[in-house]
Amino acid sequence: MKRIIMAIAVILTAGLLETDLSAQNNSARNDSIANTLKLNSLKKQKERLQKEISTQDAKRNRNIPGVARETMELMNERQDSLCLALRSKLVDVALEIKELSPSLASPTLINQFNNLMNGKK
Amino acid sequence: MNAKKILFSLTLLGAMSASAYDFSVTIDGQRLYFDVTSKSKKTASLTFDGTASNRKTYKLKGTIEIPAKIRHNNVLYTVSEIGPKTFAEAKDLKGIVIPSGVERIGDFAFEGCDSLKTIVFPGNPVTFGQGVFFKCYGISSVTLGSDWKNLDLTMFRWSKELSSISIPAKVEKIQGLKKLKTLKEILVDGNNSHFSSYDGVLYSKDGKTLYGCPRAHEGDLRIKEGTEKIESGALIDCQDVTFIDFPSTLQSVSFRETSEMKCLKTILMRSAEPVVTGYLGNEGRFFFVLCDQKTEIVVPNSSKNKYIEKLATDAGQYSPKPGGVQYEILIEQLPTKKRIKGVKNFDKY
Repeated sequence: MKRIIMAIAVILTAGLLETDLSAQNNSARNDSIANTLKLNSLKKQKERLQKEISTQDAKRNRNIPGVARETMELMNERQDSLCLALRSKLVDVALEIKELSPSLASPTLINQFNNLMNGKK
Repeated sequence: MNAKKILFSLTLLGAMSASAYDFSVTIDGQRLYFDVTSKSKKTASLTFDGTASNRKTYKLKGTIEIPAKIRHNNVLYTVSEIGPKTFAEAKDLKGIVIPSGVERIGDFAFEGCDSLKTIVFPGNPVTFGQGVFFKCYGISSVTLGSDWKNLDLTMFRWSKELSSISIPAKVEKIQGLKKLKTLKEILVDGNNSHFSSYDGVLYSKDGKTLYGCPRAHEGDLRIKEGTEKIESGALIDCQDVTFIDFPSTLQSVSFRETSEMKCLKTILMRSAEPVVTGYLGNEGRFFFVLCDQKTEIVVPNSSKNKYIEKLATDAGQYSPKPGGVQYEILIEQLPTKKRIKGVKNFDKY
């Protein structure tokens, strides 16, 4: 009888533990999904910024015939600031991507994780 | 999913959500944040507080002396870098002393530090990222590195206060001098083997070539005797010059150099022979493009007729060199013969 009660207690405890672990697992999975979504969004933002920078860079240091040197200089200065402001945003995005990307984990750790997920010993 | 897999997931997530810095220290009441960049080389990088998505602006006040070495967990790290955006928008930062050993300053490291006035750089060469001093309008004093060979002054181009700069002895190449709108004088260490300065103006070491006059140079511009050539564009944007004294040794200068000097009253030409400053086709002429035709050109009395004979009097397409880029010059931009004044000597000037 005692053995049966102990067996039931063990089974119940294991079940509770499994539920708790399962909740943690779901939480970890949800965090992982949120990070992936965030990372994808940042990568798209990075692409947009790079495209805009490329467009604006082409307008830098222009020399339009017939336009006075002083006027040209003012125009080029404004363009210079615009390009740098865009590049500053790009640096912000790049820093966020770096922080979120899994490359911070050691290759050994990633390898072992992948092996476990694939069921290998 | 078993416990082992869960443990690895959590460990991986932990790695993924790291904050921007590895450790922080308080120095002279100011908290600084660092990243370990190499454990084997024991190097660290100065960085910002918070995370990239939630960067906290440094609450720094006054002048900060960055430590050359910093101890953490019984390891002595060399501070080798100021990371990107480290001090961005630190509005109360007034001065920064960067120690020897810092070899790189990252992108936009001091962006928006509009109270930053004083910068002392390390002696060793430093690699600069983009926009390091973007929107730093208040920089007024810069001490450059004693071992620097290449100098790009464009990084200070947002400053509205920088009026003087000293070039160290080992500098061999200078870029961006003309990007500094408020610069009034440039000084060169006497031991520099490539450059010299005279009256705040930059010359070659032998003094034969004038490389550049600071844009905010005002009043008299007395060019060193012995100068033979004035580099194209060296004077063109010095709008506050009222008087130019060209030496007797001058052989080469472009007519365009005076074209923006709105306050120019007098040009002194000490050379006995008229200097050819522009070409109409292949014909060499003496003239300067003037903002005001009342500008006087003073020449040796004995050479006055030669100057008048060589003077350009017709509007047309002139080039600084034969076959070079042509510029449309109007009659009202040319000096007139009656403004050529002959003097027996230049003592008065």
